[in-house]
Amino acid sequence: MAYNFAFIDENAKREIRRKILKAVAIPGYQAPFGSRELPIARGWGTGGLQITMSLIGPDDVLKVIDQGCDGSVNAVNLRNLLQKTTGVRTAYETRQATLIQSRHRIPEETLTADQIMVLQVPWPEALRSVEPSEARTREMHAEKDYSRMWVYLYEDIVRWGEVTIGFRYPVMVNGRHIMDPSPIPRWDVPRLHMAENLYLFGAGREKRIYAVPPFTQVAPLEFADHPFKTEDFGGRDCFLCGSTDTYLNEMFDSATGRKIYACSDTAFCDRRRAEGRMAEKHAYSQ
Amino acid sequence: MLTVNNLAKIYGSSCSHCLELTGPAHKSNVCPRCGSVVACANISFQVDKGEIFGLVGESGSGKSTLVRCLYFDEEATGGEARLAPYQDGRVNMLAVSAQQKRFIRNHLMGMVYQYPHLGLKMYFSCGGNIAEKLLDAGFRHVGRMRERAAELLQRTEVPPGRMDDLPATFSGGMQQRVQIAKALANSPPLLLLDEVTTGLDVSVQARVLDLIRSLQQEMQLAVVVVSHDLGVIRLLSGRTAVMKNGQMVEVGLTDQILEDPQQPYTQLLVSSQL
Amino acid sequence: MAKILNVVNLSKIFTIHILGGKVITGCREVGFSLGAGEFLGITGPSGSGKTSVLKCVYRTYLPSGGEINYISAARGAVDLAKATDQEVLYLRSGEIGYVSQFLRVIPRVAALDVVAEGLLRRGRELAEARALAGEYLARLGIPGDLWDAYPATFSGGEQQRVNIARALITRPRLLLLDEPTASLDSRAKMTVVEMLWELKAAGTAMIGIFHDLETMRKLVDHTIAMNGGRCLSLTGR
Repeated sequence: MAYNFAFIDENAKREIRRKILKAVAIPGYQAPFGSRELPIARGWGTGGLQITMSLIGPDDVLKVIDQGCDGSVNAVNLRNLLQKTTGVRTAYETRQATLIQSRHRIPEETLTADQIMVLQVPWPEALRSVEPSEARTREMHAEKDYSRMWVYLYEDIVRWGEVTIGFRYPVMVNGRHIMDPSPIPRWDVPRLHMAENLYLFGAGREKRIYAVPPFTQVAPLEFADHPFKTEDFGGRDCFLCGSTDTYLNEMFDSATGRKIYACSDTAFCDRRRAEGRMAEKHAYSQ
Repeated sequence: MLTVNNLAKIYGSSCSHCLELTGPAHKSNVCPRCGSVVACANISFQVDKGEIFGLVGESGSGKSTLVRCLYFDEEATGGEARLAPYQDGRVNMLAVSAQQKRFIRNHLMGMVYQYPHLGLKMYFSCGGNIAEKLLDAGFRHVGRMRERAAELLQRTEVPPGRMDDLPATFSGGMQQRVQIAKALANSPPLLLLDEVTTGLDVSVQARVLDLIRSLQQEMQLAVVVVSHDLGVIRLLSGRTAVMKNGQMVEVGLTDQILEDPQQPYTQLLVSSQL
Repeated sequence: MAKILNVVNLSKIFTIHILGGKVITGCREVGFSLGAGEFLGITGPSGSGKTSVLKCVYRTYLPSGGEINYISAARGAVDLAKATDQEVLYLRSGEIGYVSQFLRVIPRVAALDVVAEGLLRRGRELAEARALAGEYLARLGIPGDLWDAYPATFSGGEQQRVNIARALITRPRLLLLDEPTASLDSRAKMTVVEMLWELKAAGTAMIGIFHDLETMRKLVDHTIAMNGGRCLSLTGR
């Protein structure tokens, strides 16, 4: 093979691992790192990819998902690149994986202490929506000066009656840093709190790495009279496995002209179906 | 309440001659040796609880720089400032960490600027602007913040029905009143007013002055009023300092400053009144 | 009667720097003393230094020499000529009142609130202070429908009455009066004299400059006559 194991050179890996250690040491703090050139354009998961490349070893079992799906184009390409440059085993089942790289979702299955979850981040700065200057946002983090972020939420509630942020819901990590949890839905935010596994976040274009170590407090920003809420699917169930307690994607059934819903986490859905669960009212269509 | 000792703010490289070669005696605040601008120097004064202290002087005399240093908008080059409720007045607040300064700004001081855009975020609603101060003091209840904002707006005579409007849609006098409401959000013991009525219509000016005075009496605030307008100073402050070329040339009872000025510059200033 | 004010050798010299250091004498070596409930009148032609004496006692003028020993109820003996500004402000807010010739107040504050202000500063409730302010204005003949109006729109005589009301309402221990009845009609003058009498009887010491000697005669215990800044004579009643 013409490439180093996991594509990037060992010195780059060491640098990235040092930055990961720094990020783990200060939960929620964005550690700058020297983002490398990769055979993928920046903005397509290069931050997560570099974290994965610098951590992966020959014994790891890798899972790559995109929007909860292992089969989407981006997930397949990243997995192929990693697999070709490392030769490691890959897994579809969340439970079997030791290293999971993802964009937009955290698997439904509760992760364990043996697993590392790597999330790709397009915009690492949670405060960017309220402050355009990078120098100022760094100062704001340093001084824990978060009133403006809170005013943003206040204004949202005043204007719309609730916080309208769907993805990238800002969280307070370890009572110290406000963090962008990457574009996961609100549904996944509570999974970051006091989790057994390590979460790592990489932004390749923006050159930032941050982390939520195991058993860290992660609290979505909320008001006493407007508590944080996850998405409400109004009792709808997955048309494949019948699940009512997973994050659902809405789809259009061109045959019937109706909206149908399916688990966003395809591996989880498939496992439930393999275990014999089926959507009752849709069973006939299987 | 507030004790200021030898405060100085110098822009530029500054040299050992800056202080002795500038000031009213030299009719300049630019150091002839190094070209640094001594915006203010040798500033010492005290303001008691419930007292309004006036700072008067022409543009460029350093009075705004002085209050901006006290509110940490500018970093003072030297000197001390102590606030009685902060660490029992034992600590020089000019030398504490940025976080501590922010705590002092949000809990112990309020500032009203000449230009509303300096004190208000025009893209936040007027209630949001007040909420910013409350959030910083730890409020995490939207309903309660709105109650407090409505109360403050009522007190400053802004129709509470306009709480959710952007301040950009308000008149100048109303923006100033929103600024005052914001400054008072956490009931700070010290209020700094920088040319708050400059640029307002005369009739609006009077309402704002009356508002400041009645709030001050009611809350027993210590207030520092900066104005180039002797009329404003006369109506508001009990004691007044006159500034010239970055230094205080005279401090006294306001009526004494106006009727029996001691220093040549003060006499000139008072006799130049329209 | 217990002395509450003792003025010794009081001088006030103005140096006008912008007129090339020109020196103007306000008053020279003035001395007198005053007991609780006593009224001292000062007479003399314009420019004789009457107002200078009064303003030195109030510390609007910084005395150039001499002593102004005031026995404060709260602070004991204080030399007003050398007291700190804060001390003077404290005494002004609680013990020493001044009625000037002209009313100077924040525009667009209602007459009633102008009068009530001194009481609010001393911690009285708003409603109570306003009620009392109303009584004072009524007694001085300001019709009730003017109480909400702004004094700037009042006639000279009405403004003067507002001015008197706001000084008397706080019942100071020492009251300084600079031509308080100059622009009043005879009926209003009578009322003012009556009110001053009541204060005097309750122990307020007063120093007054009156344009109108007739009014003054009813009040004064002692008189000093001034000319050219000097005190020419001191007479008893």
